[in-house]
Order: sequence, then C-alpha cells, then structure tokens
Amino acid sequence: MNLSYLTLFAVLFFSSGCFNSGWNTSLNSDYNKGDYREVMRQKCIICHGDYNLDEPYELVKKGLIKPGVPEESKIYRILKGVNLENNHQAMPISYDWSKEETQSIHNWIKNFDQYAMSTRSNLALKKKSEFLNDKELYHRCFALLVRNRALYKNDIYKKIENEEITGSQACDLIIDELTFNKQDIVESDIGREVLKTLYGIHQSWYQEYNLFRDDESWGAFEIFNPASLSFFWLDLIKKNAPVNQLLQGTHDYLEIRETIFPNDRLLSYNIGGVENDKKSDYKFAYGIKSQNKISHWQPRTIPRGELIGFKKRTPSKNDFIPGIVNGRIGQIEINDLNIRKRAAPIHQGQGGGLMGSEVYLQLNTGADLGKTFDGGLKLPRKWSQSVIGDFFCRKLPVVEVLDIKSYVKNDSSVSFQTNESCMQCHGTMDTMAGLIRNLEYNYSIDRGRELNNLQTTHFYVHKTNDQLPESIISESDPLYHLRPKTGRFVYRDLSGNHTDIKIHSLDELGKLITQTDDFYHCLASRYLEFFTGLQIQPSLIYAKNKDQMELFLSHQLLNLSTHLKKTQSLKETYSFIFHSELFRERHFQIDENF
Amino acid sequence: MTPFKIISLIIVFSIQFFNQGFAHYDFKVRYGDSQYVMNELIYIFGVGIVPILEESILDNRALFGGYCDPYSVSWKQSTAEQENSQIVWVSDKPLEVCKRGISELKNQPIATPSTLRTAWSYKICELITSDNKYISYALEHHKIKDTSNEPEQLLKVYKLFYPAKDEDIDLLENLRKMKIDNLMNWPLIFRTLCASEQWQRI
Repeated sequence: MNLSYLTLFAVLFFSSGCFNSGWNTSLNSDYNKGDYREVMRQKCIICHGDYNLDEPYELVKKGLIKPGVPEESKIYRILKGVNLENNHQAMPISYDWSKEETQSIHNWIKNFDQYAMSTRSNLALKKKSEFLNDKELYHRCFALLVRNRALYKNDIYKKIENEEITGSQACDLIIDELTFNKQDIVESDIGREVLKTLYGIHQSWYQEYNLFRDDESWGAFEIFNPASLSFFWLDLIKKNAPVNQLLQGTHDYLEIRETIFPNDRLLSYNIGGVENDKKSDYKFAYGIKSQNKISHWQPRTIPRGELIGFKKRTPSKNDFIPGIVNGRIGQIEINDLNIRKRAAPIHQGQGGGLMGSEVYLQLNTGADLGKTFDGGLKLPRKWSQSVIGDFFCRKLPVVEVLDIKSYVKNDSSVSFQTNESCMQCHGTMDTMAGLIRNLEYNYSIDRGRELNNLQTTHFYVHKTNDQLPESIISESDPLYHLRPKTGRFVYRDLSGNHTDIKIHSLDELGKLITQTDDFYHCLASRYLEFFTGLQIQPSLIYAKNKDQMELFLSHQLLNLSTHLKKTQSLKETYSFIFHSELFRERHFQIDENF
Repeated sequence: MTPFKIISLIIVFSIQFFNQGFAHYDFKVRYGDSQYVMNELIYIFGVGIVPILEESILDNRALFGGYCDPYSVSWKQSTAEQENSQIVWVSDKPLEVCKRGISELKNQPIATPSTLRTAWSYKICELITSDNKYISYALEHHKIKDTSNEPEQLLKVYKLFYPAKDEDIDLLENLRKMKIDNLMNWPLIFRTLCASEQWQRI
C-alpha cells in the first residue's frame, strides 16, 4: 500500500468517524446551546480534539481566536451560518448551527478574557461544567432582581424557549425594564420590582451609625428616609451616568410613592408608637417662644406607599426650617433666645454627593447634639470612618505609622495625638473630618410627643471665615468650626500607594475617592456578593502567596473592578456579571479541600 | 521542651489562627430572600396563606433576608379592614412593610442559611399543607387532577416548586408511591416538596 492510499484510507476513516460522531451528536439536540463549552464539545471538539477549552489561551496562540473580536477570529469566521471566510470550507461539515449556538461562540470570543478566567474557576472549583441552562439562568436573575418567579407567560421566557435570546441576554432585559417616564415614574411592573430591589441592596451598604438612636429624633424619619441614599446609585442607572458622579454635588432626591390607602400613618407606629397614630394629630415644631407657645413649621414629609420612582429635589419653601434650636443635652427649657433665626435648608447636601448628603451626615457623624467641633476631642470623625468603610470596604488604619509621623504632636494635651499607633487611625479620620467642621447637630425642639409636637434633628451650618488661619488638627480650638473648610485625604491604597493631599471641599474628596482603584474593588466586591454569594475581600487582589483558589477569586474581582472603572456604567457592570460563567454556575460553593 | 520551642509553637499557632480569622474570601449559599419565598408560596397556595406568612416570615424577616420598606403600606391599615377580628388582606403588594420598624432596614439582602430558617420553613410548610383549603386551592388553581395520568400531575406539582429545573426522576417516582386508598396523598406530596429548602435556592 503506497502513501497516497494510506492517506486516503486515513481521511476516509477519520471523516467517517467525525461524520458518525457528528450524526450522533446532532441527535443530541437537547443540550445547552447557550453554553459555548457545550457547543464546542458537541460540534467542534468531537473532531478537533486538540481544542483544549481548559487552556483557552492555547487557542489564541494557534491563531484561532482574537480575544474580544469574534469577526477577526478564525474559529468564528468559518462557522457555517456566519461564513465570513469565503474561501474556506464552512464548519462543521455535517450539520447546521442554530442562531443561539453561533451567538454563544460569538459571546465567548467577545468576552474571552472573562471566560478564560472563569475556566480557571471550574478547574479550581474542581467542577465539571455544571452550568444552569438558559431558563434556569433567567429564573435566577428574576429571583434576585424581581424577587418573584419568572412566569411562563412572561414574554422574555418565551423568547428563551424560542431560542431568540440567551439566558444572559434575558437578564439584561430585566434590568432594561427599569426605565422612567417623563414624570420620573417606572411604569412596568417588573421595572418597579427591580427599582425596589436595587433600592434595598444599595441602602444596605451603609453603616448608618445613628439609625438606632432614633428615639432622640423620632420625627426626623418623617422627613429623612434613611434608605434614600440608594437614590444616588439609582440615579446613575436612570441616567446611565458615570459612577464617579456618585460623590459630587449638593443635591438630594424626592421619592415618588403610590398607595390606595390613607396616607396618614405615622412611621413611629412601627417603632414603638401608639397604634393608629396619625400624622394629622401632630405638628412639626421648631422652638418654644415666651409663654410656652410653640412655633410650628410644615416640612414636606415622606409619602407612603409603594416606591414607583424618584427625582432630584427642587427646593421649596417647605424644605427650610425657619430657625433651629441649640439642643444642649440636659436642657430643660428652650426659649426664643435659643432659636437661631436663620432659616436652614433641611435637604441640601454639603457637597460630595452621597457622602455629604443630609441623610448620610445625620446618620454617620456620631456628633452630640448642640456641640460645635473643636479640632481635638470633638470632631465628626465617625463620619470619616464611615466614608473609609462605605466607599473602600476597609477598616482603619489605612496608613502605616510612617505615613502619619507629621501629625503626631508629642506635646499635645490630647493624649491620642501624642501616640503614633493612635494617630494611625486619627491621622486619616481627624484630618478628613475638617471638611465638615462647620456643622452642628441640633434638635428642632427638645419637647416631643407629649405635646403632640414632632421633633426633628438637623444640621446648623456655621458660616466659615476665610480670613481666619487654617487649622487641620488642634487640641481644643474654640474657633475651629469657623476656620476655612480644609481637610486632608490621608490614605494608602491596597496596592501600597500613599496619598496625603490637602483638600478644600467634599466634591474634591469625592473626586479623589472615585479615582482610586480601591473604590471600584469595593463596589465590585459588593455586587459580586449580591449576585453570586461570593464574598471576596478587595485586599485579596494584592495579597502575596495566593493559593490557586485565591488566585482565581482575586482575578474575578479584579476583572469586574477593572471593567467597572473603565466603563463607569452600572448597567454594563450588571451585564458583565450576567454574561460571566461564574454567574452561570449551578452552585457557587468553594471546595475547601482543593 | 525548651522555652524557645514553646514560644515558637505559640507563634506558629497564633499565625495560623490569625490567618484563619482574616480569610480573604467566604461564600454564602444563595437562597431567595423573604419576599421571594413569600411570593412563591402565595403563587402556589394562594393569598389565603398570608396570615401564616405574616407570623412566620414577616416576624422573622432577618432570618430570611431581604429588605423591607417602612414607608410602604401595611395591610393592617385601619380597623375598618378587619372583619370579625380577622385581618383581611386588602393590598395586592403587602409584603414589603417592615413589621419590626425602621431598624429592619439593616437586614441583609441575602441571609445565610441557618437552622432557624430551616425550622421556620418546615413549620410554614406544615401549617399550610395541614389545611385542606390551601391544598384544594393549589390543586384547583394549577389544574392538578387527582385521578388522571399520575406522572403528568406529579410533574405539574414538581414544576410549581422547581419551574425551571429539569425533573428529578427519582424524587418523582418516590412521590408517586405516596398514596392513600390508591389516591395520591397530595398534602404529603406538597409538604415533602415544600419542606425541602432546595426550591428556595437560586
């Protein structure tokens, strides 16, 4: 037998093998066509056994794939049904592709790096490809975002059944339901549920130290909704605005609710109040004049009912308290001498978007009522601590001892200022707190419910004097709260870069925060936890001597975080997660014995 | 053992303890939150079960996870909505209210599985499936017939709890054997499916 016969025999033998295998596979049409691995196994690897999906970059080396560009990737160009390679035999020879199958290959190459990372996940997690099918994936998204079951009569579900869209695309469509009409209201039922879910997720991120001190100011929550911080996030989604806008501006939001029920129940009904307390039985008060006469005002209160939308607040005359009182602790009687006559806007933030909003400040300053800050013992350092925790997912200290040596004062009468290890935390907290030095936390009145008055808490904003010398940290400076609003951003990021910059406003601080990688690591970590249950500390990204599992998880987080920082888009971030193999995993559990 | 060795051992154990205490990652099994569980059960058994859910899930929302909204409305809006001392459910979206007040805002969106949650889940399923009217509702509303084509009817019940999942043949076969007087024991079948928390997993 000469060589040509041998070759012919070999070709016929392997062709028939492939054909038969292909035929057999074509019978197995009931596989997950949205899973590129399954598609590749069923229709490519059956003949091309050297395509090792567990070593995806080998396919790149072979020139078959150009990551991110399906149209320039040979493996996609030659597919039957796509066939961009006109002079090449369209593959596979023996059967056709469904649109979903080619789309699945397209998606894989388009998001190649992301999938490659997930491949390591399967290896690391010692899994066989145990992925959800498209219906299950949609069910998962629906359960997470709508908190209900995806009904069969649902149009999206039908599209999946008809193979018009993949499960991941269906997940994108759920998010797309969150659209607002001209009145800033979400009209679709699914959209409204998504609105509420995202509202719930984002509000759970904030520590809100003062939330449980509501006995002091139980009327305040009729005006300030602690969960309204979520609107700063939701507004980014609504406008597809860049994430770095989160910490900019002095604006606030007005929520839109709808109910068929009477809108007169006091919130305190749920916090130990008397059943059937009605708002109309009470009046908001702001001070007691002579002869025990109480001054009243009428702020806009938070509506009741189902949340259906929100919009930026346009200040109205109702959003100003005519004068607020100095609520010294132990004060027995308030008379008009204590009333500060200057009207104060109750919803205007101090800059820095979310972190400088009235609600964030009220719930996080930890300040005593009626006390000005002095730059030493009295500082709103709890707020600084919350900023570090809420936007970097980190606990103090966030600098090294070496970084704060210039802030240590050996001759200070404030003991912690003389101690290096104390100043490791105070060096960050106290310097940042200088930015809100001019706030004073006040009661509207210290007499409450027994007189059918609603008591609230507010900030009195002292007017700073730019002519006074600046001061960052002092011992006990009576003029501290009147000095120019300066602070410092003293921070060493997780990668080790040290920052110590003088800043003059919360917007400036917000800009610095959203320029760091740590901010996006933190955000990516929070979203991954919600969508997958995996809690990955941002510090893992920079940890040394990582084992295989840690390596994989840190890559997952870094990937998402990099995408988030680059695109600045929350919607795209959700989509990135929906289209990842990690999200498709049937069980996210980690094999600790690996 | 020399003091040096003892100190070394203490240091080694301390480092190990330290490392374990500061793990860089963790994992939570994903179960649907309180709202999801309530919605699913109401879908299957009807709105009549709301009083059961109120006393079990709404009273223990932190166990089941998920936010609530103190500014939402409660179905206990006024005494006018009570008939013969029985609370009448008058809202179609009553489940968002924070029954324990504003502090419930700090509930985690996803709760960790716990023995208590498992116990409450079982109790809820037991209460629901012990009452024939809820079983009758489920059978009637979801068009499950008692006598015809058992595998098909069982699959319908299975799909109520696992709408997107492929059928578990072994489980279905075991359910098929649950009979009394040659008739399907629907309360037991529903309880078996309901009490397994697997359907809550997302």
